[in-house]
Parts: sequence; C-alpha cells; structure tokens
Amino acid sequence: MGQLGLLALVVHAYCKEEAALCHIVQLTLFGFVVHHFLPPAWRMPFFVAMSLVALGLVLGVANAAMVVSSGLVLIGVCHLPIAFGARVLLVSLLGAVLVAFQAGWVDTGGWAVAWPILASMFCFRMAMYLYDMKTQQAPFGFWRSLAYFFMSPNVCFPLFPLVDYKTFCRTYYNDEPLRIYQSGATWISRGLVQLLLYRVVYQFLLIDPAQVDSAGDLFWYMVASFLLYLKISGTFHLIVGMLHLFGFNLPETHHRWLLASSFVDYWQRINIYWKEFMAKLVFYPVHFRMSNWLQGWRASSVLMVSVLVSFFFTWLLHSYQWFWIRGTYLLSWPDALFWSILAVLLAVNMLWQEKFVKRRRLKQAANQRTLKSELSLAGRTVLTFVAICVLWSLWGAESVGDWLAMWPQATRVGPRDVGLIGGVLLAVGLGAVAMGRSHREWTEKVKAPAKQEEDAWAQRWWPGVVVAGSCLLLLAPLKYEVRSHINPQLASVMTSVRMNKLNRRDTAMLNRGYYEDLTEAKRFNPQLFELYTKMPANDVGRQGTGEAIKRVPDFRRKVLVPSKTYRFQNGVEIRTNAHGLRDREGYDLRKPDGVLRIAVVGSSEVMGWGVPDGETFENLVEDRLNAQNDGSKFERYELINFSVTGYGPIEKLMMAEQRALGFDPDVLFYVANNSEYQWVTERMVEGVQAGWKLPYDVLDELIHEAKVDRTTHKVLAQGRLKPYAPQVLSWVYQRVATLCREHEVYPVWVYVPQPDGEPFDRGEIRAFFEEARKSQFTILDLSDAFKGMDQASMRVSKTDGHPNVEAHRVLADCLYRKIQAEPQLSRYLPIAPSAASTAGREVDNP
Amino acid sequence: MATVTEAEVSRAIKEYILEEFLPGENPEELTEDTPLVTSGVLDSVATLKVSMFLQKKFGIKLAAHETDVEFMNTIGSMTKLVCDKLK
Repeated sequence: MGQLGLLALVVHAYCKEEAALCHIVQLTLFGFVVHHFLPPAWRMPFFVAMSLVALGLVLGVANAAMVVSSGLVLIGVCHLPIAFGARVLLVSLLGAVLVAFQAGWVDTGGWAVAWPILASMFCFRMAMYLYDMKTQQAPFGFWRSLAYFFMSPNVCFPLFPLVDYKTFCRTYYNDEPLRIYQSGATWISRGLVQLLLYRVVYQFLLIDPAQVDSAGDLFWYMVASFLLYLKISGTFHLIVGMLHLFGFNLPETHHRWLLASSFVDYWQRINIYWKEFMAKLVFYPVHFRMSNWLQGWRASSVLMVSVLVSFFFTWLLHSYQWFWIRGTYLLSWPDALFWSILAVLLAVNMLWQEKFVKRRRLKQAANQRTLKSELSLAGRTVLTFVAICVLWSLWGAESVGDWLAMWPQATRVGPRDVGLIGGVLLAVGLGAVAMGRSHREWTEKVKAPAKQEEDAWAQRWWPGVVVAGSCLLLLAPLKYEVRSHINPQLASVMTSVRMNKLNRRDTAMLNRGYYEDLTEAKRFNPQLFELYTKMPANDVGRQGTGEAIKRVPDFRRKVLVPSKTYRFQNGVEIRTNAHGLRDREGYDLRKPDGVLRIAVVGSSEVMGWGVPDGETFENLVEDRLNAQNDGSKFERYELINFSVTGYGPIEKLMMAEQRALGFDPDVLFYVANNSEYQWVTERMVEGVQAGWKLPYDVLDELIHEAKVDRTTHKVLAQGRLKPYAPQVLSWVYQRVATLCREHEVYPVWVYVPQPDGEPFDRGEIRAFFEEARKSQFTILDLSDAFKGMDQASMRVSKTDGHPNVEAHRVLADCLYRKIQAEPQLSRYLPIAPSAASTAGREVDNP
Repeated sequence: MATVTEAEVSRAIKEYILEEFLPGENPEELTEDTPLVTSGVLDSVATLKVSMFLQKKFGIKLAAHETDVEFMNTIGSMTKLVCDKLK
C-alpha cells in the first residue's frame, strides 16, 4: 500500500494536467484495496463494475452507456447459438456499421467520442476472442468476457496492449496474490519512469530535421526518433501493472528493447503482445497453410514467405488500428518502407540464425562469458541499435524525401560529432554487456516453492525498495520547481516535464496553422496523436469554417476578407471589418483630427485566435485608453489591428508597409513572439517551393547565396537558410523602423509570450530583443505578463496555446502598464502613469 | 505407423531438441518439465520447426493453435499433445 501511495503521488505530481488518468489511478488504487479484501468469487465482477465506473467517469454516463451497450451486443453476437461462421459474419457486419460511424460517413453527433474507445476495446480483442472460441482453448463466462473487453485503463489509453484472451484467463491469480501485486507496482513504476523519460526526450532532445547540420545531429535525430517509443513502452507497462493489481498476472509487454542484439531479438523484445498476436493469428496459420501449398519448397523459403506475408498484415493492421483510433488512414511511403525493410531484415536474420547460430542454452552460466563473447554481444547490439534507429527515423519522417534530405549533412564530421556518436554507442555496448542478456519476464511462470523461499528477499522486498526508491527520486526534483530561485533552469525543466505539453516545434507549428486540422498531421508523433485522441469535437484546435480567412497564392498565404466571419468549432465567431481587418468597424482610412492612432501588426495571438470579438488585448487597451481619456491630449485613441494568423516577420513587414502605414498611424506596434527566426526560415522555404515571387529583392539574394531554389528539398532548404534567419530578421526590423521614421510614425517593438511556460530558447529571444534595440525600436517586454499565474488555464484550449479571453485581459493590463512606464509613450497617454496604474507592479524591461 | 509408447515419444522429442537447438547441452539438464518457450530456448520459428518435426515424425496433423506455449513449453506437454493425437 505504501508503494501504491507513492506511485499515486508521482502520478498526481506529473500528470495533474491529465484529469482522466488521475481519476483512473485514484479509482484503481481505491478499487485495489476493496478488491483485495473481497472473496475470490466476487473479485472479477468487482473489476468489471470498477471498469464501468471508469468509463462513466471519463466519457460521461451517456457515452459510457453507448460503449457498454454496443460492446454487449458485439459480445452477445459471439455467443449466439448459430454456426461459428455466421457469428463471424454478423460481427463483421456490425464492424462495418462502426466503420461508417468512425469514418464520419454517418453523423453520430455527440456519440462520436464513444467510437474510438469502443474500437480500442474491440478491434483486436474481438479477433482473439473469436479465435480462442473457435479453437476452444480458453474458458468463457459472463464476467470474464466483460472483464476482458472493458479493462478499466483502456478508457484513458486508446492505444492499448493486445492482451491475448487465453493468456488473460490463464494468468488470472495463477500465483501468490502479493507477488502479483508487487509485479504490478514494479511495472507501474517502470512505466512512469519511462513516460517521464519520454517527456524529456520529446521536450529537450528531439531535433527538427531542418536543424540537422552534421553527422552528430543526424545520428542524434535518429536516436531521439527511436527513443520516442518510450511513450508506448511506458504506457503499456503502466497499463499491465494496473491490471496486475486485480490479479491479471500478464507477462511483460516490452523487454529492454534498446538492447536487442539482432533483428529477431528486437522483434521479440519490442511490443511483445503485438508479436504474439501476429504469430498466433497470422504467422502460424499462414505458415501451416504455406507448408501445405508449397510442399516442394525448401523449409527456409516457406519460412521467408510466411514472414513476408505476416509483415504485410502487420502493416495493414497498424493502419487498421490507426483508423479506429483516429478515423483516418495511415498509408504513407515511409510506413510501407519501414515495414517492408524490417520484414526483409527479420526474415534474412531468421534464416541466418537458423543456419549458422545455435547458441541456445538452458542456463546462462557466468563462466560462459568471455571477452570475445562480450565484445561480440556489444558489437551486435550496437549494430542493431544503429540499424533500428535509422529505420525508426524513416518511419517517423513526413516523407521519404524529408528523410533523404538530411543525409548529405552526414558528411560534416567534427570532434563533437565523433564524441557524441562514440559516447552513445559506447553506452549501448556497455548496456548490452551489463543487461542485454536477460530473458523476458514471464510472470505467468510459477516458481517452485523451494525456490520461492530462497528468493524471499529478492522476490518480495527488493522490488518494493526499488519502487519506493524510484518514486522518491521522481518526487525529489519537484522541490526545485517550487523553490525556483534555487535553480531557475532546473525549475523550468521540471515544469516542462511535469506539464506534458507539445515541444517547441509542434507548438509553433500548431499555433501557426501547420496542423490546421490534426487529422492532416501526417507525422507519426505520439504527442500529436494523444492530443488528437483527447481533443473534443468542439475544440478550437479543430479546423473552423467561414470565409473571413482566405488562402492566396502569394507569399502571404492568407489574407482576411472584408466583412466576413470565421467560426471556430467551439462556437466562437470572429468578424472582419470593412477594411478586411480583425477589428471593429469605424476606422477611417484618413485619420480624423484629434485622434492618436496606433497600428498593431502581429500574428494569430494578436489577431485574437479563438477569442470573441472585442475581447482581444488590442481592443481592451483601446477601450481603457478611451475610458480614462480626459481629452487633454487627444479626443480619442484608436488601436487598429493589422494582425493575421500565420504571419511571420516578413509578412508583418509587408502588412506594415502595404496597409498599416496607409492609415496614417502615430505609433506602430510591431508584435513579436518566440518563433521569429523559425517563421522567417519556413516562410522563405515555402515561398520558394511554391514558386512565389519573394516580396523583397534582398530575400532573393539571400536565397541565391544559400543555394536554395525550387528544386531543393524542404528539409535541406530549411537547413541552408537557418543560418541566415538572424540576418533576415535584422533586416526586417531595420526596414520596419526606417519606414516608420520616414512616415513620422513612432516604432515600438512588443514582445508577447505564450501562456504555457514554454522552455523555448531564451538565447534566441534575447537576440530578438537585441535586434529590436539595434533598430532603435522602443521596447515593451510583456514576457512577465503571466508570471505566477496558472498558465495552463490561460490557453484557448488544451490543444492550442493561443491566449484565451482571460489571458488577453492579462496581456492588456500588462501592455497598458508598460506603455505608462515608457516615458516616450506615456507622453501620449490621457493621464499620468502614477494615477492610472491599477496593478502597481514594477516595469521590468531587460 | 507402428504403435509408439509415451516414453518413446518423449525420448524422440528430447533427442530432436538437444540436437537441433541445444547442441552440447547436458541431456540430464533437459527434463520433462524444463520450460522451453518461456525460458527463451524456443522462439516462434523454433516452435514451428518443432511442430513440423512432430507432424513428420509421428504422422500427426497439428493445427496452428497447437503451437501455443501451453502445448510446446515442455517436452511433457509436447508428448501429451502427440499421444492425444495418436489415440
């Protein structure tokens, strides 16, 4: 109980953002205590009841009722007193109906949330259930069937291990209960450690293909791509650990998959349940059939054909799984290539092993280890690791072209690259020697009583010590987050790891509309995948409708159309005015006398993405200026919003030059965010690739100098242009400032942060400030606007980091205070700074 | 095929496994109850080879699901499977 209490604390500390997971963990721990003291006959029904409560807690009663009733119909059909083939046909027909629901061919309204969870419970388990029913290899009963299909953790984890029905039945309390529970606690802690390591990899180690600049970068990109799998491995450990607490003594789902010493070994260590599902339902039946059909063939050839056929089905079934969870098909070249290459490597490896390697041993005696054998093991493990990293990076790439475009960078090798590659490979080799030989943990194997007594310490106490120690180690660094003054950098890292949010690249891309609808996100990205599966149908992150935002075939990509609306899926509607600006009506092109006019150019966060009309910080500051206006300096204040979603520095310059200055403003606010460099590079690449004329000659010259043209692959082009981003940004800022001075407009550079505590490159942001200073902007730094606030509640949605209504109010307040504190600007204000200040905080420019 | 006893079936299986998968291993270490699949001695391909051997050697027909761990994990369980088929 102590271990489980500590595990609950870790979950609470690190997964507070994930309410559903917290609910399920709390329910599981409470359920475990009750369950343990129940008579054995009541335990299975109790587990079922608890699972149904979990469904209700997470999905709501109506959706849970839909999942349960649909599931009962499917299970009921399996037990109809008709021919087995007819039952399979009926189940398939019901499956076809669910396909129509999941694909959206039939609108099921509010029930749409239920289908991915129902599918996750039934899409593979039904096949195993029917298979075991046909072969009569397992016992069937009402509670057992319900327990199998409605396992409580499933409602939180649509990507669920493929638990075999027969194993599920066979392993139920097949060992001493306390030992099963201890395995559960061990695996839960292992799962949590892996999930937190995944967050570290995702947040801090994953690099963008465009950042690959040398052999070391390429190697690191590949290693990090492979390490992303920690998410799946950790989740599966957590799930199976939770099931252990209710007596399901299931075997290990993954076994030290980073230390595989061959492709066959890799396949046997990674996602073991999937491998066994494929072996049981595809590989063995196919091989038996092939052996009959291809009787004249050599055994090795039959084996080869069986492996290739099995992998073809593996590929198809991954797409099938993807469809049920996401409602879209995953059929891409990287995916097809990944499975094809892995199939061939595995088949060749199998044949080679059967022919040349016969090293099986009943016991792995210590004295059989020689220097030669250890070096051989380390060498094989390193080679397998490298090959799998390469393959995995291909699988994760958006396209084969993207992946190939990184390879030319591998010719650049420096001492850092050699050190990095050598260090990682050495660690893998040493890991292989230390831990690579261990066999998979088959917990369903019951040890002999004599052995149990011998191992009392090792079996009972030591795992408990490890679990408690792991939990304490995970909880200890949190103090640095609370006492951020001790080590601000570590505090920031801890916040990022604890919050489980998108990394810099995905956040930036999501925010500037790259994944305008996540169903279009082609990358295999567990974080986006999770985001999508948990995203409500009415989330702001889903693509909205309306004519206000129009795509145009030039560098700007998007423009706002006058007097139109755009409706987000959450019902928020934004309107453009007669000038095609996301702002109120009533601004004349010619500035009236007695008006102080401020033009604001920015992107989505200034435009007010997902925020109703009149609630943007620009509108709020305007209202406040006019509300406090005593008329002593100006009759009226106007802030005109020239911001458009997806605009980077170059488009903002275009907007200032082509439109904002035409409105004769007195002041121009250029609003920068944390992605200035990234936007410059990406927009230039997009423009060149689309064949659009770049808006300024200087950009054409840089493109030419960087040796980028329309034929250069996107990833390569981004890599080549990246070093030029500071130069371009500097030029943009200077041009904005110069244009302002030429038009007698006062130039102000405003930095607006995102309300999600992002761990973005602070050095880069300092460089933006420096460039703005050099261009002689007056700087207003709002980066402390959200300091000390619950930033997670200030996003428009969990999936979208744009500021919400509350955050816009905070930004407005902060901007107003900063304007007051800036002597050059406060002279325009209606009243003196000291009289108007409401918050009374110090202004703190860098 | 002439009638074979359980002991003969067991011996034949043991000889095959020792020769094919555990060359050089002490035969006494391999008992009727030694786990083969759960200990990693037999992987899926090796299990298939054993099942092909059983079919050929004893003239029986195995179904795909009979390559499962509960039939193939020990020499004892394999022997039982073969003897049940031969009855």
